[in-house]
Amino acid sequence: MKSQSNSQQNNIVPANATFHNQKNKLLLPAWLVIGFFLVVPVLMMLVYSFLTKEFRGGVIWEFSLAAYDQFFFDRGLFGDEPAKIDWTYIKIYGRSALQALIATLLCLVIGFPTAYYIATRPVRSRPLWVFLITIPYWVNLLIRTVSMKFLIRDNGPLNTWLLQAGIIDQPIHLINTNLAVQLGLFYSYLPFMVLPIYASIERFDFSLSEAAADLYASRWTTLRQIILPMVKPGIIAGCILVFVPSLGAFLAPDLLGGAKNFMIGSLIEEQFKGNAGNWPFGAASSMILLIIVLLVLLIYARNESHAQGAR
Amino acid sequence: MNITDQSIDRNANSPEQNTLLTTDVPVDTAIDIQNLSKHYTDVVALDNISLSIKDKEFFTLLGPSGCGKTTLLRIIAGFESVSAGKVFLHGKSIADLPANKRPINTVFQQYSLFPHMSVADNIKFGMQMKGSSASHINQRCEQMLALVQLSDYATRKPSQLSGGQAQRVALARALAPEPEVLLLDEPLSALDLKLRQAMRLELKQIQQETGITFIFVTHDQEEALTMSDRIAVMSAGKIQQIGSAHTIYEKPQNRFVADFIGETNMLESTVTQVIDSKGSSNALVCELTGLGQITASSSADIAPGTTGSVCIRPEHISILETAHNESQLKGTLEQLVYMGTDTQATIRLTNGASLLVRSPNSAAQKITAQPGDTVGIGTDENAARFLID
Ligand SMILES: Nc1ncnc2c1ncn2[C@@H]1O[C@H](COP(=O)(O)OP(=O)(O)OP(=O)(O)O)[C@@H](O)[C@H]1O
Ligand SMILES: [Mg+2]
Repeated sequence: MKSQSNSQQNNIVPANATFHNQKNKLLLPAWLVIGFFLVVPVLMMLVYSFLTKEFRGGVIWEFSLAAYDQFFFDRGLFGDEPAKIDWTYIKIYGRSALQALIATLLCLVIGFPTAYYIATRPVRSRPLWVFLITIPYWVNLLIRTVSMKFLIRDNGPLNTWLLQAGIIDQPIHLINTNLAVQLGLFYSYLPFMVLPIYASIERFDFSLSEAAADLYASRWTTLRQIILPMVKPGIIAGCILVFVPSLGAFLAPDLLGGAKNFMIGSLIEEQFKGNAGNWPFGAASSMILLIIVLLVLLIYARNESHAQGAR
Repeated sequence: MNITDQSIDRNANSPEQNTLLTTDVPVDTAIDIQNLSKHYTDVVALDNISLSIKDKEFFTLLGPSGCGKTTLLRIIAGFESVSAGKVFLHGKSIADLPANKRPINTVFQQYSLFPHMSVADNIKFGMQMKGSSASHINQRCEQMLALVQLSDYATRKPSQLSGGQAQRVALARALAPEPEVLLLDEPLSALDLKLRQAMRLELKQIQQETGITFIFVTHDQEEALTMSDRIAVMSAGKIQQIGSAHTIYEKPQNRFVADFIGETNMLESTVTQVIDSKGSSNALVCELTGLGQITASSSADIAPGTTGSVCIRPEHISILETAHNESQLKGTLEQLVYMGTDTQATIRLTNGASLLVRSPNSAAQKITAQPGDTVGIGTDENAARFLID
């Protein structure tokens, strides 16, 4: 399988000029959409983050580093004290990253066996399983998050059932905890983990695991040394697809985490809401988030190209 | 031909020796299969198979596509459960041993090399899983690379190998942990003809050097005939005949074997007289329908009056320019096809059946008759074989 795909890659003939032009024309609408709805807003954010805030929301067109200064430094209430590092926002970012990381791990631990199970079903029944996984996601994220809040309340159905079943003798306090946020994020993004892993396990040639068993490998060793290395791209894709939106999520932290468990998403949202906001600060916070995400992707891409080069 | 092959041929030819060999000399059995059956929901893949494979033997399973060869190998390897019957390895039942605990390795048809590992790591994998020492693993890996002549390729990835090289890595990987039995599922079928022929000799040589029992699966009769100590011919989940290449080719037990291996002539006939009956080798006189009489051999006990076919290989028939006597078979030469080393002739017999003859193009044996000529037909001694339909 591997050798085939490789030789195909090697056999690709450089497309001739006309064909190339044709292809570019076909891509034009896509480029326009991406340019208009992605590049322009990001540039706007970049510009806004360097402007001066207007007190009732909006900006004054005057260059200022105040937003970034506010993010990183503390200069006292009136801005006249010597600058020292302000950990408030950095901590929010750190906590968000940790929450997103835990949610990603949860998704991985639950998602991998699920994907493995689906990918090893008979070919005919696989689409049905994939369909079942995606059904809850036909419902709006807000409604799902609110219903989760209802489910895990102190006197909600989850606690009632656990009490009735005698598994616990006191309601578990979940709402407004870190765990609730992690569970909420996990629930929001699970399919983004399952689907790419499923796709790569489905492509895995299971005769390789027979070959491993033939050469005295246990099931566990086969999973670790043969299957995991080969489905790694799917796992990494899944982790990125869960981690990145979790990092900037605001519904789950807002509804399930309460004020104590403030995350990046809520911080940014606040800055653009009503009259109390601070647009340049919100823009600067967004830019910092964007830079973190790009760094994560860059590190991944570099690792990947190193691995490719070694091959 | 190697020594084992000749000894088997000899015992197949002389029944007295045969009895001596099988009863007095204990044969070390590597794999013993007893009454093995395998049913899938809608097919019977293996139907009550019994066979035993000797230690250090090159044993071949030969049969048409879908006859159950791969299924049998997969059962021996431990990838497939059995519906009935038992498999023994050196006298011990291996029913309860999972695949990864059986000292049996496989060379897979599609090689199944681990694509993310180098050639050397592929070869080392089995030994590492067995927990051999690092120094032994490295030494043995080099030895294996040398054996398959790939010492310069240790650091390559499988995707950077040609088909023949990948095939040899698969062989080295399976041999490295020193299995008691090596299973090979059509390992040469993905190679081109030249390479396939070269690899046949190489495989045979490696088997003799390592002294490991090989169970080799193929649907290519030439491959089976040139490499094997013994061959089991299979069809539709059953074993049709087991024997040396010589026995299978010269003394087929039934029509399927005679038809499947090489080219043959089948002539309808009835047994008129049993001359000599010695259990596994009987001499008969057969009446070829509408042609005359011929003496033939048979491995089964046959009573006069039995109907069946007489089978004669094309190379055991000679064309006689003039009919010497009345009792001789006669026919009209229809076609001559020059084939390099041989000439192939088609003869229309007096009863309407057509007969294929192959004769070497040497000066002594060259066919001089022309199409249209009436010719006499001679057969080599012991060449005719009577088979029940
Ligand atoms: N997993 C399975 N489920 C159902 N039927 C099967 C399965 N595997 C094999 N069979 C059937 O069992 C029979 C024997 O198959 P097997 O693969 O052993 O044939 P083979 O002799 O190896 O053929 P080939 O030369 O084409 O490889 C076939 O009829 C096949 O369709
Ligand atoms: Mg097969």
